Amino acid sequence: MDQYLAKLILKFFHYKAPFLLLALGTAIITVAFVSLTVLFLIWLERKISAKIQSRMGPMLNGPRFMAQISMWLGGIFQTLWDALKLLLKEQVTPQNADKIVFWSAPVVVFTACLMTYVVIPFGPGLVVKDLNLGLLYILAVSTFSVISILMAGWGSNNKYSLLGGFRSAAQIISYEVPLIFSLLGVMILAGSLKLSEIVLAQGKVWFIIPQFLGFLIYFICSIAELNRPPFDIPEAESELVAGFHTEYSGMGFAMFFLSEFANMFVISALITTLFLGGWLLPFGLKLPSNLSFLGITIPYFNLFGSVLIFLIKTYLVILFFMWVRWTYPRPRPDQLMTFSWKILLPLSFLNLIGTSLGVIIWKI
Amino acid sequence: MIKTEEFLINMGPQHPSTHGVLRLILKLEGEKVIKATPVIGYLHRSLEKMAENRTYHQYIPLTDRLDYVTSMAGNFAYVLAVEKLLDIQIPQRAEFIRVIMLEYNRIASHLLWYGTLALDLGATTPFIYAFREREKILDLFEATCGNRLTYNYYRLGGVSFDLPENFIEYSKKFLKLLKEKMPDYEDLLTSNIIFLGRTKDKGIISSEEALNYGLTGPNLRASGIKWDIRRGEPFSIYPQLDFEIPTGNKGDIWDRYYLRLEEIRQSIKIIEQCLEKLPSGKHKINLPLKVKPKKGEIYSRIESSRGEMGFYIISDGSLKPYRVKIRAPSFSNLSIISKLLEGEKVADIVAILGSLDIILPEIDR
Amino acid sequence: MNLLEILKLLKENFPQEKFIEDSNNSEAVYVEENNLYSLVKFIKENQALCFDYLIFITAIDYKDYFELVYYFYSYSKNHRLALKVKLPLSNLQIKSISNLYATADWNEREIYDLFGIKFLNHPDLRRILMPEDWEGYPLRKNYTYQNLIIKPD
Repeated sequence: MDQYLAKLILKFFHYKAPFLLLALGTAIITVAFVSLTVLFLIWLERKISAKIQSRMGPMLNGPRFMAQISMWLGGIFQTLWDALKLLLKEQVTPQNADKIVFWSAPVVVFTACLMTYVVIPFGPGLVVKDLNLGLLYILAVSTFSVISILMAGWGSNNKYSLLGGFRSAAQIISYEVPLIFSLLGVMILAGSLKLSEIVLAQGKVWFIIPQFLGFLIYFICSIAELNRPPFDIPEAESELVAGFHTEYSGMGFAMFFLSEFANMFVISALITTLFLGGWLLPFGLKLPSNLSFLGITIPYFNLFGSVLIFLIKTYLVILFFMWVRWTYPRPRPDQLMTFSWKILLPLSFLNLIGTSLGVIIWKI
Repeated sequence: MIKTEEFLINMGPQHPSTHGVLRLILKLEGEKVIKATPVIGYLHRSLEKMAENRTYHQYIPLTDRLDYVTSMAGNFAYVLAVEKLLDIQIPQRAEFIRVIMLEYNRIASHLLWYGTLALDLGATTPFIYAFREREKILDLFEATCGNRLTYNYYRLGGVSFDLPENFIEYSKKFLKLLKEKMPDYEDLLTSNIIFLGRTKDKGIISSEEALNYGLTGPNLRASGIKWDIRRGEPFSIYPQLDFEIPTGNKGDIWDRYYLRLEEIRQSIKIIEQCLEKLPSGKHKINLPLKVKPKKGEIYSRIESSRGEMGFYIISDGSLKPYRVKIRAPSFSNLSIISKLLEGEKVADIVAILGSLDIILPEIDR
Repeated sequence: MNLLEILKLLKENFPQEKFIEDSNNSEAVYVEENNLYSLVKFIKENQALCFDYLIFITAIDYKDYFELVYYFYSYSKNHRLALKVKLPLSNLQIKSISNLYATADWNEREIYDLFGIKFLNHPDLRRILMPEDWEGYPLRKNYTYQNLIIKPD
């Protein structure tokens, strides 16, 4: 018996352990990447908003010996201290809250957001798991955040939270429809749901040119999907205090906050992948596989360059999101719904029909 | 069958958009407001009772605490009423300084209102823009009287300090800057499609309603009634000045918004004229600390940035007033709120409430 | 119109009313409490007077009686009028004018709150500034409270 068990363990380690380790390693890298990105994004948002509003934004922060460095770097450690503060804060649970639902909501929202990172292709072959149904997977997983917002709204047992939860459910469900329709055009053009194949299909021309309408619809819908201002009606500060996360403090609040920014990165990455040619250079240009510069050869330049291009594009999209956020006032919930059902949905239908016709004519 | 219930929600006294400590008890049906009951008095200090216990000079600082955004107006209205009771004339220079300060404060107040309305509608940037310029006005006040919020600047018989040395120069520079910045404010909101959607045809106050509820100031003018105390019942040096009274025609939120921006322009015009005409001389006549007006009553009013700010003072010939009644513009302006909110959406509550430009300390007194 | 002309018009329409002029206030006349409602209705609806704006209502505690002051203004005719009513301590109530002027609603509530004068036919006579369970009426001259300090002259 013992021998058999030992053999089994040996066999397991021999065959499965590398795979497990790899999976674990990827997971850790992903989480670390997401956390760092989010910390950077929050700082970026604060700096951008400050620039738009003719302010300085965070400058001096942290202990005295670090303050000067922080000043030179434009207060880049601000979010680090913010996160630390949120971690150390007391977790307050409202007395009449549904505790299980209340505390599982932030976990659900953060998990759902992490899961979307799995299929994002950062470069050729640089993807955690290149699923065949990558696009469908992302759409399915990102919808998960509605559940968590409803859970948070219901579990808090606060009327403002509940109103926020309702609004969020109504908003995300109505924006999900034109969002998916706007992506159908891309699917038709690429002929695949695999994200890396969609990128490769844009070798000649990026999909933003034939699919400009689809891109616009997707961009607007994703602002609503992200609950970002100007479409932030579920957490409209001036109306609903803080909407669904009114009652959260400490890490619970941080989870919602972080997942919001992590989601923004995912959506921007997705826009880059679907419309802006992913890691590809424009006009079918190709990166050399090794770059020689002043006698120094950089190996795998192809790979690094691709990631760099991808990140630059993604951050440009993010900047656009931020620009929109700090400029516009917020529409009313019913105006938002009207806009979705009466304008965006017909337009996305039109886009779908136009794309299909175009493809047929092209083939003839 | 699913039973639906009305949703009772307490908006305030601690809420980001009730502009102070107003509490609205909202009865909601989904997002629709069935009934809104305002509850006020969280800031009640009984300033009217306190007046009965102070000499006429001692009460001036308390009038700052009425409308703290336009505290020059509180000062001005009170001082004017007491001076009418005492029947004294003040130096011309003091009159001009008073008007300059009131108009500066009107600009500051309207800028703050512009910022907070944008904030209520979810746009953060206009708020910062408005505060950037308001800060400069506060600097001017600080240079003149040492305070940035509650100025306590007016005195019986004049103002407490003369203008600082380079006030005129700095003022002209600032007014030029403000005129350059006004198009920025308009760019951000005036014709923005979301802003138009939120404000056009919302919170309409007809002119009959405005009269019935005793609205004054920009809220009344936005409903199409051309009435401004500065013209209708002129006080101080206003008859010598050239300015227009802007009016709206529909009385919706957008009209109230645009009217206030227009009033900022008119105030700039008034200040420029005052700076031109500013006479030299004394800024104050000295009155004894114990002033005793003769027995009598007075109701005197001025146009503050929110409307008619009036003081009804009854003197019994002693050192202290027998009774002081403060006619605060926001008190009447707010009383229309439950009528306006009926049938509106939750999101419109803050827009409508914000557009009325109420300030709680003067409502609660 | 000045006060004399207004008074002349009023006297023609209300012959039973005396309209005693106030020596302290050139804009005010004393009227009987029973006539007040019909008078207010008249001055609001009369074309020549056209008092479309109720500035405020307030009360004054004269220790042995209370006085109510109604300040009116006309936007179109540009004239003011103050109506004063004396209320004896034994009968601190008067008919509400809140169905004529909506402003009167909150003004009357405030007077009820701070002076304890009742307004009959008022739609919603509750305390407005003080808490619901407050005892006493703060603006009365004989009001005392533990934190109230009277300054010496």
